Amino acid sequence: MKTKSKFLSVLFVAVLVIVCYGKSEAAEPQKEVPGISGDKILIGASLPLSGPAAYAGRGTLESLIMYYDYINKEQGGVNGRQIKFIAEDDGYDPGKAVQAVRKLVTIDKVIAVAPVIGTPCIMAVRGFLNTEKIVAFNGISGDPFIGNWPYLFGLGTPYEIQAAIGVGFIANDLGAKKAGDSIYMVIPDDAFGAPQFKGADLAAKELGIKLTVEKVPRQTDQFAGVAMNIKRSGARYVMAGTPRTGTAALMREVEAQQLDVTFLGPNDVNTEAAIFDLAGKKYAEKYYGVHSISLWEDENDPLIKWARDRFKAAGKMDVLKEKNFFYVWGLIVAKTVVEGLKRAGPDVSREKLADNLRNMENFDLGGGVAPVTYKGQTLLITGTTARVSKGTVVGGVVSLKPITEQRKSPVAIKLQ
Amino acid sequence: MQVQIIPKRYLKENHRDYLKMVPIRIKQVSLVLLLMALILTPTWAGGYVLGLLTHTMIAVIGAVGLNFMVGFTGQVSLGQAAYMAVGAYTMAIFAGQFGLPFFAALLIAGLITASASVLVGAPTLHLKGFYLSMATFVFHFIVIMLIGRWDFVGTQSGISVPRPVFGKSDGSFFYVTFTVTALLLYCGFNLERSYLGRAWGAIRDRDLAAAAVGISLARLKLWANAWSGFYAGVAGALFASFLSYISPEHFPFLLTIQYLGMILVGGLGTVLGSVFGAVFMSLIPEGIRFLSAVIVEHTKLAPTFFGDAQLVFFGIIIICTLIYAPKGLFGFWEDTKLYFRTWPLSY
Repeated sequence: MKTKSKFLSVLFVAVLVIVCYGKSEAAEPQKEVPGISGDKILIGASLPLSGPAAYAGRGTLESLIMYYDYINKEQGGVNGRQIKFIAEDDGYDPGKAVQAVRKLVTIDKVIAVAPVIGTPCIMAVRGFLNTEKIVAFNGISGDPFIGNWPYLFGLGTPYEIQAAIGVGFIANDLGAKKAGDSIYMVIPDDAFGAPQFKGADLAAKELGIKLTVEKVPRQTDQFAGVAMNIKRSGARYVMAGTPRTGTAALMREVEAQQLDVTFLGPNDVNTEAAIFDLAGKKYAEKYYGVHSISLWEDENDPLIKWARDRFKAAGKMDVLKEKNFFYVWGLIVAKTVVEGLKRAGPDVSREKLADNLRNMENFDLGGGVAPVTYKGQTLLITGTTARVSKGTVVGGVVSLKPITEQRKSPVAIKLQ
Repeated sequence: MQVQIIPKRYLKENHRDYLKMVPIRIKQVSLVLLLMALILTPTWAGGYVLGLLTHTMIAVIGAVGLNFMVGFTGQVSLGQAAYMAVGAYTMAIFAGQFGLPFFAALLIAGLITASASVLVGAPTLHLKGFYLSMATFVFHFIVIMLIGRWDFVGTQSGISVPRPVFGKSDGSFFYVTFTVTALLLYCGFNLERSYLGRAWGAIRDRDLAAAAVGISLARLKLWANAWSGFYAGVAGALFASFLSYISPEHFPFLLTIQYLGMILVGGLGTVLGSVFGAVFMSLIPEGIRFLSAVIVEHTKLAPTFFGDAQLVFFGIIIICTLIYAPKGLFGFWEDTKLYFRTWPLSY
């Protein structure tokens, strides 16, 4: 009797599992038009609002909120619908990013996740987003885009290409190649540093200039040994691919060693005048930075000026003072997404938004970044060029001024 | 003189009663209802809830494994993230690169991680407390550094991990994880009640006395390493399959701290405590996320307000739990059960 009841219990559970398995598969597909209600379009973002990358998330968030408010209040929304924006905090943790994105897609039912910040985070969620056919934005390492990701859009030039442009600038414009000088590159030992090294290494080999690289833990502020290594190597140029606090710590150590070197920030994220608030101004006028997206302090850029005026009118002086690249990045993401929604028309859907973005050609944002083209691209990244800015000190204030036009990489960098 | 009134159904009258894992009828019914509720979850839950539950079950496996080392045997290990990384990358290599079936790769991931844990444990047998924790701490950085430089697994860029053919959707992967979790919990509860579990407790409480009564400290500590490593490896392998992609960035040292927090909050030295702690630490942040979203929606507070505030709330909840439930959630659970069992009597 006991054996029989045990057997029946096991059989019952097995039948239950089989029935539920079948039902769970049927429960998966979406049937409605998610992200759209009568008068609202839902847009989501997974941002690091806490943790060590919080400055990136908060900067992006400020611009996203500002732009969507502008669209809602002054433009009457998009095709008659107001934008409702939902931001989730992922703390730059891939595990949290998975949960945040799943919540945005399955509970909030957003039409797009714009953006997801960080290579580890987007790599963790891109499979899910691809399966659910959700448009997502990310920048700017090339790695996440390699493969078949028709719903993943990038804005800005990949780090690989920017780093190569930086090496080319040092080699040719600064005359390092002719003088026989070498470059010392300091990068974090993670997915942010790897593409920088890839591009710089290729360019250095092609141009015949010596490149020494040292990888450091991402959050370290111990650079005394690195400064000693720079001194021993005799390098005249230092490419600092570390985040803001790391680069500032490196500059202080190099200053302590009394080294006469020139610094170069190899991409948008590293090219910041804010570094000198932490590092002091000794190397400010010997600092160059590569960037594909306009600098937040560049008031000659019409889009930047427009955004800064709006923040000024809203009384957000702290936003104006902080020279944070992510204010610009959030702005161009918001503008591109809204343009995609406008083009999709009143009966917009996730698929229509994706199609319209993929067909985008030479869309001029009015500044911020070069005109956006996704049409015909194998990898949905718009940027292939970057420019170089130089540090200047005026009235005790350090700022970066562009000194070159947008230029291409001196070597061919294949991302696939 | 204190007298405890215990109903007859709680008394064990023969050896057969001792062998039963769930001897009391009401507990059996509760367990069946819980299992049925979990089995039926994919019929109504979407990707978010299923993902959250899958993530929680993976955390349960990892927490139980860590509790074997820390809670049962008293050996402080700071290598949990590294062991999970070993399991995750083993799954990526065997299932992804070599094309082995999922369960075979999962078993291999567990065994290889168990072996790694024994290899770390063997030379550190004589170490205790702070010194042992430093050894495992260093092991973490060695593993992460090696993975980050190994071209075969994509160095810092990471590597993709396939999901099992029968577990491609969120619902079916939920069942896969549920099955593995149920099996490992069954195994864990039995370990707790077995000679091994009791001997581990003896080592934790009085290792010299345990040796004096014939318990082989070296052998049993290595068994603790092995079981802990096995569970961590399986948790890492499931985590990798769940994300479908892993990189060294998925295994920061903070992950070890989170698991230590789970078993501390849940209750050291008990499998059920590990379950409570894992569920608590996995679900509370999501609860705070929802609460902050509701508050932001209905007030003028900016979303950035809750960025770091979430961490503060979470920390406060942990501290309050430790203050008011110093034996962990398991101790709190036992005290609550006793209270209702003996109510209205106070003892």
